Amino acid sequence: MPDIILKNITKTFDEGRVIAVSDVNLTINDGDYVFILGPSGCGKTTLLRTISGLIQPTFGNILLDGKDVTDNPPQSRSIAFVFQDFNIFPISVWENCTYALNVQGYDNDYIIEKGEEALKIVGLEERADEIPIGWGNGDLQRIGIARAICSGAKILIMDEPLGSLDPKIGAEFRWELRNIIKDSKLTAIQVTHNQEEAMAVGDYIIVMRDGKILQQDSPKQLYRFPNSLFVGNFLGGLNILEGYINHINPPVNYTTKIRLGGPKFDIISEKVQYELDENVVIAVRPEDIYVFPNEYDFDASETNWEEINLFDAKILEKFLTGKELVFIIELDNGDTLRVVKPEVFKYNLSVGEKIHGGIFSKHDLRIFKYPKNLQKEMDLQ
Amino acid sequence: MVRIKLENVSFKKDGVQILSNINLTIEDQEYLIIVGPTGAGKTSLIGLISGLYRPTSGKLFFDDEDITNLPPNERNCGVMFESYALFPHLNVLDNVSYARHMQTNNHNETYSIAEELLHLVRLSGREEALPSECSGGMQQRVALARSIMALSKGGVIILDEPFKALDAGLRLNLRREVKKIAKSKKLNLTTIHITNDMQEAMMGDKIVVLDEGKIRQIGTPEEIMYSPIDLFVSNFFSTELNHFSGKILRIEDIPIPGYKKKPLQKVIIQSEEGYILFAKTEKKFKIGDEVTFIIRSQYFKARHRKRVDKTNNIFGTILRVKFMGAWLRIEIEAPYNFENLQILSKNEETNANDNQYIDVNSNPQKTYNSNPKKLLKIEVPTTHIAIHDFTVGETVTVFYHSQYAIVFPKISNIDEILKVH
Repeated sequence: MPDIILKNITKTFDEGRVIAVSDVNLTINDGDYVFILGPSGCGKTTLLRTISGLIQPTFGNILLDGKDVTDNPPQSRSIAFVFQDFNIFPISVWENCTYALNVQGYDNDYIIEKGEEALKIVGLEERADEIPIGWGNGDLQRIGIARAICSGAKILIMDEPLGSLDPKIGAEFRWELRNIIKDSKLTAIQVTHNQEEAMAVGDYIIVMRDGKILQQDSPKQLYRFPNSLFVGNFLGGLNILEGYINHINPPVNYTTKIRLGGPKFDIISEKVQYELDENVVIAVRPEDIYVFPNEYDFDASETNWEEINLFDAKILEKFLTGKELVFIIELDNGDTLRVVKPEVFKYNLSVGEKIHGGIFSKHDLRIFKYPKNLQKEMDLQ
Repeated sequence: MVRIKLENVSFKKDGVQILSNINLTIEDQEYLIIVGPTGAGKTSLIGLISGLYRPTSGKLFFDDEDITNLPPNERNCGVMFESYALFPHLNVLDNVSYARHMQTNNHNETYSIAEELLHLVRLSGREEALPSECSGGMQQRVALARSIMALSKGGVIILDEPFKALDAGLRLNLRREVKKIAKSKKLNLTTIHITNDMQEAMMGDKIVVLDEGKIRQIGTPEEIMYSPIDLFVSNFFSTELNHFSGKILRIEDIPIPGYKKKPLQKVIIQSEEGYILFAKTEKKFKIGDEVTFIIRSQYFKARHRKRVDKTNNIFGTILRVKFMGAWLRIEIEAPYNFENLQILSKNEETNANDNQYIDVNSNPQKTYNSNPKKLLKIEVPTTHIAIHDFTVGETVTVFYHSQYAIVFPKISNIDEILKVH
């Protein structure tokens, strides 16, 4: 049974002069863990507030469990919040956790049952009587989550819940948070500026810009098949090359030529039809570019390189980023590409070295209509 | 030309010991990263260098001059804060030149230096823009130019968590850009960059790992990554790690020396879970030593079948698979490895040497029955040459190359050290 349905939600501010959310339709199923991503000002916070009832939509309806709750106050919606800065009171863990139930006047047995259950889920049952002063940020957020669970809400709304944690701690805590949500059978909607976090633990991701939903898909689908340059780039740096359609092999096989003496690439595009000489942008993920030493013998290799597009390049930069090795390579026409390989990389390629680059067209190259404003499309702000 | 030296520097604030006995040399024009978790003392350390704080004991030198008691404005040291702190009512050019206008009357010269700096940070043509009209990346470059402007040639620039508030994608590009500017031959800057992000730390010429007010390790990114001094440092510089404890059964000398010509040995370890595993390490262990060793998640490779006849192989059942973009994260539950031990000791076709690896005197079940199953977390690339569809429930064998295991003397409170607080 679908849990949250948004129908034509629009929210304007300043007497209609600012459109924060524009005609959004969205269904979130019971038990889903959903992320909303987008640059600042894209409308994601407004959308969260609309769902929770903190603000009223200008148009449209919100249905929870099939019931129209558009005009209902937040406390009637079975929604709890988890905040970036925890909002923990300087009282005991137990009092923090059961605060809302106490205020609402539930009977003692019920409060004890719910409170114990919530603290057990987050692993703080042994520390219920402590006052959480000087605690690490991870433990503080555990209290925040326990408090949300304790309220009995079915839906969690989380605004950057791991944003205040050190990156290292956040990267581990995200798995714990996912387990808690799944084990407690909660529906969760989370906003983050960490795309990797969203891909790692989200069931699916909604990408917004200018108040609209651009794409809503599983992490893999979104990452592999973005429906726009913006989405692809926002999900994790995309390499782009500007070029034009050089040859068409109907119905879906195109050869694009990269401008100013750059290489040619064969690309398959099943969705959009292009015309000869049409300006296009092709995009490839940094990890999908292969680099080989100049003397590499493709015929003697065990791997089948038949369908790869090869080109000449030179290594401009090389650096480690932890588990990945990054090369910046330059094509003959001066265009540069970012190449990411696992840190354990078999060839020792050095800066200045001439190499072969390769990209599998069918799997890894995407082709897009040339946007009106390429710079804006690639701007992550 | 600034070479910074800290000699036995300690710092107390409100009676609390923040930094203890810091000894550190930062070479002229070096790009130094100071990395550590929240509360490690990073901000206090740069406060001491920039002159906002005075050390409780110890001395600071810029080149050979003792600057311990020199006020901040006489130190030729600029700080760029996380929030940029740009003047909202001044345009880009005036933001950059403001401080110098206050100091000198030669406004034309000030503007020409500012223009040159703006060119260097790729903001030529945007001189008239107000901060509110600039993207986050541009605002940051304005702040960087402004901090550099305050220095006389070849000063010290301190970057305090410069990329914290930015989206992940944007951060990648800015890191390269900022380092290029800082390293520019025109500026001759010595740079100190604070972060709590290990990926960002890797951009430094040298990394200082700070924890609880003490320096844990100083080294190049490669040294920190491949020869971490302890579990804390190896954990901090891993996205995820797997750890094993066990006993050394056999040792082989490796004739080729390792990093910095240090002699190496290959140790053959029987882990608590019954696996026979290899590790290449600096020569410091002997047979019978109890050790703990770690293998980062990205060093494992996975194959689709069960294989029990080889050492350094662990088989198990896939519990979870998660797509993470360039990487696929797989959780594997590996059973206690009786099968492996039995086959290795009975199979006559196995390399004769393998038989010697097994500790026949100990009954593994009796010795180690506390941890019968091992949860492994591995990451494999998702590129289409490398990717195989791994499915939950299938049995896979994982293996790694022995040079990627990092061995420590046995650590008994490992879970406590790795716990997320």
